[in-house]
Amino acid sequence: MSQYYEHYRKSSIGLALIDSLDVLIQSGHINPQLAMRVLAQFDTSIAEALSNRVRSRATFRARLDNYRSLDDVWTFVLSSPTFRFENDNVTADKVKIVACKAKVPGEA
Amino acid sequence: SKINQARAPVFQAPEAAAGTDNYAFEENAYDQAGAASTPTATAASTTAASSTTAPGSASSAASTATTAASGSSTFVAPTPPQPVTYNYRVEQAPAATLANVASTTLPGDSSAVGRPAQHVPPRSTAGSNANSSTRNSISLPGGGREGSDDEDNSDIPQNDGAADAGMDFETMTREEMDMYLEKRYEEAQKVGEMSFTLTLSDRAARKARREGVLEELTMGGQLDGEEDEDDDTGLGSDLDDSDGDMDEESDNIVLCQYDKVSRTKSKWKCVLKDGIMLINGRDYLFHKANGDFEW
Repeated sequence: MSQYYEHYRKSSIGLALIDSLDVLIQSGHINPQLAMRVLAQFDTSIAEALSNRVRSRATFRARLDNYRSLDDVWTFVLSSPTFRFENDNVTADKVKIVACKAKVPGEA
Repeated sequence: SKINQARAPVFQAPEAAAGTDNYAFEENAYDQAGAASTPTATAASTTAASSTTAPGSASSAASTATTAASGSSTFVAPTPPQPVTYNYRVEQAPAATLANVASTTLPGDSSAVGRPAQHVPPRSTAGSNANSSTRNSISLPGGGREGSDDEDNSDIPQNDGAADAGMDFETMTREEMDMYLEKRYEEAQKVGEMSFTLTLSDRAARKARREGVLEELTMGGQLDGEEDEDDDTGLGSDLDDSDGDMDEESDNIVLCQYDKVSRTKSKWKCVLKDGIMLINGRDYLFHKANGDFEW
């Protein structure tokens, strides 16, 4: 089984999952090993869902404050970005982008 | 003989783990050598210390899980010298290995429910400073959204009898902490089986480091004289310039994969895909995105 990225665990849904697993562990309903398995499964499922089930596109422009590339992971810190979705514009003060190298399908 | 008994069966499992994270096990050995004060613990630790570092530490870590067999317990004192690896690596390997070791060395003990819970020190993913769970309680890699500020220790049902509601680990002095550890150890001797971990939550660790409290703990706590790794100049230390810029995560973030990142003079272009965005409190998803930045 190929390795999937774990950075999606930092999303809202990932953090919510971790919180729930924490509560379950503290109450003794599951053990930490099982929780690790669940998170690994989360990594797989979120990657599959994002690549196969999401179809929307976006564009954005911003000022680049900070950039970093290490171990095939790009990290950008943008200021005053504007995001454009299908008939939706969103702006923010600051945004951080964490991007891992895209995996070629069928490769580990 | 009991100690040898404990050591022999567990050599298979931790060897795989010893390869993964020798660093963490070194730490365990150091902590145990410093903290062990009673005769039984000394016997176990000298036996452990006399062998080579990795297996010795593995057996001492294993003895945590097999305390019923050996009658000794190990405890990991707060790890002030490595706030960085503490955040990233130390917790993950020992937690996984301890659980593994427990399951292999105590056959017939199938269910984890009702047993004293194995404590896993809080941990956050590399580069992230997401709030970790309450101190002195188990949490997973990645931490959770609710930090130690939101939860009260006393609200959580604790099966292992720990009564830490009133303890404020962050502000205790070393002497108080030593006395607390001795008290816990004696309790454990009576019960016969105990395993617990004292750690500071991520936030508290960073705060304590900034306020110089951890320095004090570090100086006092190193009984074996061994200087552990860098503290001041490690990755992610406070000396990094503009590290504060990259650290805040309570705001907007985009987690995705990149197809191409390119730059011409000061114009950056990137092609991203499969992303989750959290912006202004709302979640957005995209399959493909194009970005143009001006640096």
